[in-house]
Amino acid sequence: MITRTIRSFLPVATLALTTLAFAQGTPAATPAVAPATTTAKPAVVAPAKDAGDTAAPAVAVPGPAKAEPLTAPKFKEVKFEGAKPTAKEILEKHVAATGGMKAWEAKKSMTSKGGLEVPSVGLKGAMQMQAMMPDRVTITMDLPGMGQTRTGFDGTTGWTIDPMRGPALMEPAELANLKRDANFRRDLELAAKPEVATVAGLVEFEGRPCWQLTVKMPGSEPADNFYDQETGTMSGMSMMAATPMGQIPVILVMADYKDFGDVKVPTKSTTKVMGQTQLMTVDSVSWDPVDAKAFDLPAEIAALKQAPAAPAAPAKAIPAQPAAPAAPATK
Amino acid sequence: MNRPTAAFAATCAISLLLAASPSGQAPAAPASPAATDANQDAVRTRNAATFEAVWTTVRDTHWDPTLGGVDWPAVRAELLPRAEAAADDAALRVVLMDALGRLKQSHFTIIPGELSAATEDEPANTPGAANTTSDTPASTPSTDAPRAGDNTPDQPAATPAPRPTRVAREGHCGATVSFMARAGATNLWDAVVTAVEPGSPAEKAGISPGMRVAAIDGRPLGERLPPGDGLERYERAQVAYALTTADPGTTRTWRIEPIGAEGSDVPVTYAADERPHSKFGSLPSLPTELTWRHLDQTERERWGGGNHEIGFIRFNIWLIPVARPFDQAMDTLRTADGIVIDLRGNPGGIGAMAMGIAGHFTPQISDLGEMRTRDTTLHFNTNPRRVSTTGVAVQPYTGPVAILVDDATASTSEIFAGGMQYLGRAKVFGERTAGAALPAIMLPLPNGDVFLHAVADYRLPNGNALEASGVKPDNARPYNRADYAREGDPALAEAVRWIAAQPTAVR
Repeated sequence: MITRTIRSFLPVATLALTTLAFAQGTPAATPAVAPATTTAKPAVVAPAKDAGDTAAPAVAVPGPAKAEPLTAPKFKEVKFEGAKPTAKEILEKHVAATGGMKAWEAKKSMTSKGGLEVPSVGLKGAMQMQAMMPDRVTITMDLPGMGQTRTGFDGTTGWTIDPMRGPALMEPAELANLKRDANFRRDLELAAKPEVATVAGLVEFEGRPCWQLTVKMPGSEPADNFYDQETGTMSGMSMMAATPMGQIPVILVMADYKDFGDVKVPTKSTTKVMGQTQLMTVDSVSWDPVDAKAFDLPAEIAALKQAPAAPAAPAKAIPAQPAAPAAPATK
Repeated sequence: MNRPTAAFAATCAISLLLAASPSGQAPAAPASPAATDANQDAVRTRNAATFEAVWTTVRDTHWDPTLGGVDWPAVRAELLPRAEAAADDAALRVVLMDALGRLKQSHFTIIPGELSAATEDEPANTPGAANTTSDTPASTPSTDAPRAGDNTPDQPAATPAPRPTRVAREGHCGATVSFMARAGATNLWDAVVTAVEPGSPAEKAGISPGMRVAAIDGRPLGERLPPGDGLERYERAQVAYALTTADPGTTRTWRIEPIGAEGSDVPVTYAADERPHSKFGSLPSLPTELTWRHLDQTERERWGGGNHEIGFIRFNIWLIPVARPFDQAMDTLRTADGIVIDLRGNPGGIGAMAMGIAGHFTPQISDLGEMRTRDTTLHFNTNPRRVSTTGVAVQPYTGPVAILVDDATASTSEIFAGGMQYLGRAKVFGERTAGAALPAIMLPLPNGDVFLHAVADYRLPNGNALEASGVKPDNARPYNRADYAREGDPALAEAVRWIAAQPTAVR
């Protein structure tokens, strides 16, 4: 599924946006917002009389909070009558609701174009994904002010190039996720191997009763998929996503399924990660063949693969600096 | 500039521009009593919604559920009525900042909507450039710049949304000033010139490092500044920065006192800041600049650098436009005997960039530190940079690295400097950093402002916090006026001497 594939990529991008570490000053240091100092310049040239009187409290810095164990979020259970459906039944209903396996099996390549927005940061840009069965994918995101971020998997090598961290080869945990999600039919193909999924129950997911399936694929962390009880379509997922900074809990919400050819694709996706929400829209989907060269490694990634292995870790300590010349005090 | 004088760009730009906003607005047309009542009710409702958004966000997202012992419900009970009664956004911000001030932590602030929406890179001589100008009076409805609260049923659009504001570039005198504690006095500081940009108005006025600035326009400096050694240092640094900025064309009289000489009054005319600006999301448009070079022979001889090839990179903010130039600088400086990175006055920016920049100096993935939210711990892992900008395989630089800092070095700059120092990959020279280092995100507010709020604690790998403490430099003692007068730039001088003393076979 398109949004599912892109989901692997979003947490990485989100990290950059989440970690805006910007010293805007301490609250007490914004005199210009005070009515008495709306003419700030004189006030800062000669600080107002009360400036020194109001900012005296000692700084209290709390100790490190004890982080809760990393777990996926819990969802409210919904009561239901009758027998609980099997994982196979839930997965097959989803396949049927989105066009049927026969239609999907005819899809060998895809190109999707749309938008990406991070409202809280004020960023809005474009996103494109190209994919080819069974596991080739490239995703490009352009956000004004941040530049272009690319990621890809050529069947062997997973990589990212972003303006903040530079080009990088994916580490094993990230690579496992991308390798798994590079197959844009993966969620549908689950129906052929329902043994990897167990039905956790009926829960409320984004206000709708959904069947929660816990999926454990070999070589990757378990994830929870949610399927609308009524429509059968996949409504989203909850999982721990691997990133270069560690694991992050991510919730993906899929909505607005629309027809693209003879199959349906969710055109609105919301990713909730690290207290922020990202909105992704799909404007167009093409199933036309994609040139295999589109998945070739970019030059810098190819060079990175050829770079010699890193030497041993640097020494913890480096030599002390020479003593500075004596400097007489002047005050 | 000798020192990145966009220090505290966000804070000061916001403060100065906001301060000028009211004077740039046309008076509102008289309104009927009924309309006024309705408007007041709507303002009251929106103020309350804005306060609640801020209050709830802190309650729900602060990494420490106890908020360090602050009685947050009591803060709400005390300040919500004041927020509701605020006459306008400026007054509301006072209340919001009052609430946030109770936390006594950095990275909790309100970015005025007119700055967040400001257009990028306006020319220096924007008509009516009294810091902020708006084409549209605040009382005139505008539909072409929807704000966060627009089209939300429960948020009445009582106060019309301003159009994007043109941001005038501030003027600068080219000097950097720091407050140094006055020997033998309590809570008294001397304003000392620590750097002067060649060719700047300050240099033309005869100002040089080590001089004391006794007064500006007859007003004495250094008194009634916030005492304390925590975040107060950063507050004093902000005041010092403000001394060096004014509207372009403004002339102020500086009373300067060289060491051992009589003071004199010199006129200083502030010049426009011509650096390029960049905009990232909801942040205001900010000056963004990176420069790099090799230290020349004169500098090396002056500071004991001998014939060593020493690279020097300086950038004033962690925003995307400096990332590629940094990479390109490293393409050339990779063979240097040592590299100096000047982060003085750099207030931070995009935290993730620290991982990419540090990767130029760490052959293996290395942990700079960790941010801890309520439910997640993330590590600032470096990305070893093993490919050049031209696509050639290389190794990260393993030679000596010196990082220059001061009390205006904050946030991402501290994450980088503190992490590099902890890893043993850099020596840090200068003054202790600001101690304002908390990862933060932004939230649009119902009144159109943006709430920047910290969501994580930040610690070095050894568990030491940077918030309030800052990064302690490796120089043996703080610099004094004589150091600045004698060496011009004692931090750079010490860095050069240290690099020169290292083994040269590092290429």
